Amino acid sequence: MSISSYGSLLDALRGVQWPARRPVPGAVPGTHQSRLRGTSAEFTEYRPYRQGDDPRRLDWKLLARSDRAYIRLADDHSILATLLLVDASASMAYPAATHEKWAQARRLAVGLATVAHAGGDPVGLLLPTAAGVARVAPRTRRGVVSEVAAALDAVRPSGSASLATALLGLAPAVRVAVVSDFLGDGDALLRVASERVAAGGEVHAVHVVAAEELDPPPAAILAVDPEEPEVRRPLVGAARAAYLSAFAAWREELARSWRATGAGYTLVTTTEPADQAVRRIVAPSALVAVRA
Amino acid sequence: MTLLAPWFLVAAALAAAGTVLLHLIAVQRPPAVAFPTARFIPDAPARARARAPRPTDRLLLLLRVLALLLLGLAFARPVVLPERQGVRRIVLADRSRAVAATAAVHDTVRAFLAAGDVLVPFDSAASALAAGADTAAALAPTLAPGRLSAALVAARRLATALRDSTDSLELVLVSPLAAEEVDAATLALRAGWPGRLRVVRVAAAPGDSARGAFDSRIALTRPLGAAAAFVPRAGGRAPVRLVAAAPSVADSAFAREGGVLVTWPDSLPAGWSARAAPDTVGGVTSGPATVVASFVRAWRAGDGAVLARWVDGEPAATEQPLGAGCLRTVGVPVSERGDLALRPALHRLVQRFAEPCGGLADRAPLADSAVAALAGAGPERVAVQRATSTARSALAPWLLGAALALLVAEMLVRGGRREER
Repeated sequence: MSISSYGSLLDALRGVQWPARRPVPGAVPGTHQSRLRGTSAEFTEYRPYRQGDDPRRLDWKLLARSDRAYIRLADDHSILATLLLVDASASMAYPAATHEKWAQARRLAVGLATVAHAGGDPVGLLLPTAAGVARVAPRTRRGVVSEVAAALDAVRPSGSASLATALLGLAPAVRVAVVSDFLGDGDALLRVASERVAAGGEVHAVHVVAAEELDPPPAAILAVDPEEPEVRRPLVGAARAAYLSAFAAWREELARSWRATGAGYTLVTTTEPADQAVRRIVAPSALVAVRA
Repeated sequence: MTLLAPWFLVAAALAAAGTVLLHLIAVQRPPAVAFPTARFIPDAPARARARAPRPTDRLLLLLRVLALLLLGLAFARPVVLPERQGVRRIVLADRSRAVAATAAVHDTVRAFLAAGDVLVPFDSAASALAAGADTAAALAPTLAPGRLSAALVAARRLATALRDSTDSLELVLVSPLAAEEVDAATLALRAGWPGRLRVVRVAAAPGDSARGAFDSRIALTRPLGAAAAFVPRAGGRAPVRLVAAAPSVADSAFAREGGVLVTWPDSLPAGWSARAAPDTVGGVTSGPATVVASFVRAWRAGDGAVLARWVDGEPAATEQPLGAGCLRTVGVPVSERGDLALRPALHRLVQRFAEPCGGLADRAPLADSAVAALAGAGPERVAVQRATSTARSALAPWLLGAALALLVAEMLVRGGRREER
């Protein structure tokens, strides 16, 4: 597969933006509002000159007219590096026949990378696997989305790897989107993400759920956890209702926990069009409810 | 092919159907499928009841169904029953002393007997004549009194034996129907036959109801001679002669002419055998006469109808036909010591031996009402049902063996499947 196989997705996401949820600390010009007040042409306000200000920022015309020294302030805009942390554990290879869960995760990752790259942000990929962590360093150059897609396509989900460990070493100024089913080290990942948000970072949790997990086929099966083969339980009869109830409760608790940290949380099923899911993820309302 | 107990096969078929249903709703381990959210399923034994659209494990199902059907078939007892004849007759032919002319009985029997019919000659005993046996010899006259009860018992046994080979039976009785041939059990036995008897009456022989002239050739000085002196003289037709030695030519001639010759010898009678060691016995009985005394028994009785028996059942006196009369041999020693010769019991025993050949006979014909009761009512042909309860099925053991073999195979296959899992 190549980036061309995502053509329809990329086309559907044309013009979509992914604004930062809060001013970014960076100084490199970009599309996100910066915490710095700079010298851009976009005037914001005047402030009385104080000793130590750069004389070059004095509004000389105002000084000449009114003999008052004011500094001319302007909002600055900066870039926000975006890193996609994608879960490639064995639980993502579901259903066994189609691996639709992994396919949806790849589409979401490529879609988010495309939207971020379209805003001029550096985009990178972090792909922890059982064999190690595959990386695509955040870049703004053309073709980085293709690199992300190629890196994703090169991996077959298997084994288990810690997402929390991968997230732990990242700089706080990087926006992270975690695309996972959160069936691995979910608690540790939540804890690291919480610390990251508290430090001013931005984290989005994209929860990928297969339709077959929400509504298992009626035929009786002996369900085996692909990451913990010793977990073997029959899914039949009354166990089905109990499963549906327990799984729904876990999803609600997961969403509540992530949102409580200030991170974004979006549940995406394998049946939802990827472009629609990406629009929901990048929409500003994804975090509004949390802040409220 | 007939099933003796078809309900077993029906039950086996139901059990087989149940087995098929169980294979459709089988308690088994469902297929293992990778399921990432398995942890949210309640922990339970990894066996579940699954409803399959098609029977699961068809080889096991085939073995089980076949074993059940074979078991049912084995218990249903399949047999091949022989072809049955339409009607068979059982002809009870009297050959006792009550028959005046055996030829008349023989002619009557021949008129009734056809292929497949059975002749039962009877006197005091009765037994069916084997196929192909000489009818005339079987109907030879005897001195024994006739017993209709014995004939009816033989007829009922024969009917039981014939029920698999005939659809219906007829019972024919050829007899003079003398009063002496009926006893207390006769009518009760007759009531056990569900149909009507065809009764053919033949002429009865004149019977002696009293002893004839008694002539004792034993000296009165001997105990037996003294005892014989107490036997009253009577007016019967057959004269009686009592001798203590081996019969002479004149004695034999006497018997051949219709007399009753009673030999009560002191030495071993002809045809009898000596015991290895004499023993003692406490009494002897013959009909109503019983003598209780200590007898020294030195001989064993020879052939002939038993007239008297020791208390242990061994014959003590016999009777053999001889010409028109009979020869009686008595092996009861009368000791010269004691008063045995004077006891009335011994006198009655001597009188018993002095009765006419075959014993006292009441040849009075049965009344018509008694004959009608004997003939009974209802159809002459009695429908017979097959004896299925006692029939043996030769196939059943083989079917049972095959079923057991299939069950063993089923166990092996089941064990193999368990190991595969």
